[in-house]
Amino acid sequence: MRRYTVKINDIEHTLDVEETARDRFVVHLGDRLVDVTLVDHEDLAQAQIAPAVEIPSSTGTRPLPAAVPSGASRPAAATQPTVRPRSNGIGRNTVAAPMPGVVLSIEVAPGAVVTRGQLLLVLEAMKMKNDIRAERDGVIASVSVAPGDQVRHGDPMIAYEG
Amino acid sequence: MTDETWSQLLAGLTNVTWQSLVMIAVGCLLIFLAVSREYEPLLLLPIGAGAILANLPLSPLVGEHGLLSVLYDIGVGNELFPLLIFIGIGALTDFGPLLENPKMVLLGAAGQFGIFLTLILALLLGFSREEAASIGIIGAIDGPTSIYVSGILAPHLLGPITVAAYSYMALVPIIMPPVMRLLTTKQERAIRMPYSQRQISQRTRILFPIVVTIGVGILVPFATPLIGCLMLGNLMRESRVVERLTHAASNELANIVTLFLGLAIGSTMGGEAFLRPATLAILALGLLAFVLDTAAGVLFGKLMNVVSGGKFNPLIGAAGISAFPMAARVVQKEAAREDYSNFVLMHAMGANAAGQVASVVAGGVLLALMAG
Repeated sequence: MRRYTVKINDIEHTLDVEETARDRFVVHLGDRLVDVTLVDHEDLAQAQIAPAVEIPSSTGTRPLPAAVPSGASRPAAATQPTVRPRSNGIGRNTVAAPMPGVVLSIEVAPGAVVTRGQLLLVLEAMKMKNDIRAERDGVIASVSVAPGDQVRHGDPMIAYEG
Repeated sequence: MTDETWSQLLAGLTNVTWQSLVMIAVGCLLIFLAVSREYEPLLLLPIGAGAILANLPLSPLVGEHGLLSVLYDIGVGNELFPLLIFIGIGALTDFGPLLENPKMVLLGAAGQFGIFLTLILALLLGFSREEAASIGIIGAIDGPTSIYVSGILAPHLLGPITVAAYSYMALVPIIMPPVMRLLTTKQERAIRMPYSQRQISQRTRILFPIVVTIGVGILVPFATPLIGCLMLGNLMRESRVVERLTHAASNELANIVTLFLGLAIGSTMGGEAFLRPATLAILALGLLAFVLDTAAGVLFGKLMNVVSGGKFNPLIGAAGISAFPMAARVVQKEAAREDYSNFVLMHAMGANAAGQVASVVAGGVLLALMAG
């Protein structure tokens, strides 16, 4: 369960998002319960980031992730934060594990300049070696896993700079 | 020295027949494929060795008290060995991806179409009912199931059918991709499927083998030996309380039985029985069964894609066969060829695990059909 407190037109709303399955959520909106199925999600990195609300840290809420464009009205937008719960919502800047597995080898180091399609690391899942390749050009900011590490689906493994 | 002494000393040479020489060459070919190509070496090497040993002139290894014949009698003639291997396979198989994605059962069922189409074709080509069913089961791409079914229905075809089943299993990465590419468009192959992770409780994992055994056992009694052994192994694995048994079943037991099974199967490849046009027909029909399975699976995957509104990668359908986990890996490789960051492996594994269960059920259905 994750609670979002958002302000729309100066009226504060509390959204409690409960993840019942990877693609199914129950959103508590006031006293309404809405069943949400996540059909698709994408990170719109070019969108303007407008975190208009100051989040008091004491309530345990988190800022809306940068990936949610301001004014987005897609129903999926409400559930988007829970889609990558462990990737800190950075989306395009993070390489997350596409499935559970064990990191076999890491082919890049922080600071490395990578091009689209370049091998970043090898993830062994179901006894099969899977090449994880760069989805975009960029510079590697950090590598948060080491060979032999077990990762779950969605775990961040590598972060890009910028 | 009398002539008789000479003929006794040279009995080996004088009893060489062209058929036995050809079969020794076939045995050498199987060993070559196992060693240099690594085509299912665990089975093809013992089978090749068995074929050579059985075809040497006057081989004392076959016949009463001969090693190979004894192995055949204790484990192949009475279907013991394939069942023991199934315990090991069950202990090695993780049905988690299938439990996460139960709809993959449909693909497992679709992947068995080739068996029945090939059966009909073999009947048309003049094979008897029992032979046709045994040839069709090659389409399960499942060694132990093929041995089990053909051992009951057509023991005289055991050699070629086993060799076909294991060779095609080794050729999964070569046979499947062209069929998959032919039947799908680039866009379809690039369909991404979000990995839907569901926590599967240990209780579900333990209940699964029990429920499947009882359910399949009641519906298809002829499949009970196969499914019972497969699920026994899986129950041991998931229960996590008999790790010694799980380990023994998936290692020592499976390895020893594989050696015995391979040698015994190889010994059935006698020259007169093997070198017939029917053997070539069996190999060709087995290949056809495999291709039809793949095609049926992909086409069913396309249907699921239409039903789901374009969110199902039809390649996954090809994984609905028994060759575990090779089929799922081939699917992942094909999907990654179109889009390197598309990971459909877990979905394919689900379909693959379903295919394993479905091929066993298909074997039971065949036995039931032939018994009727």
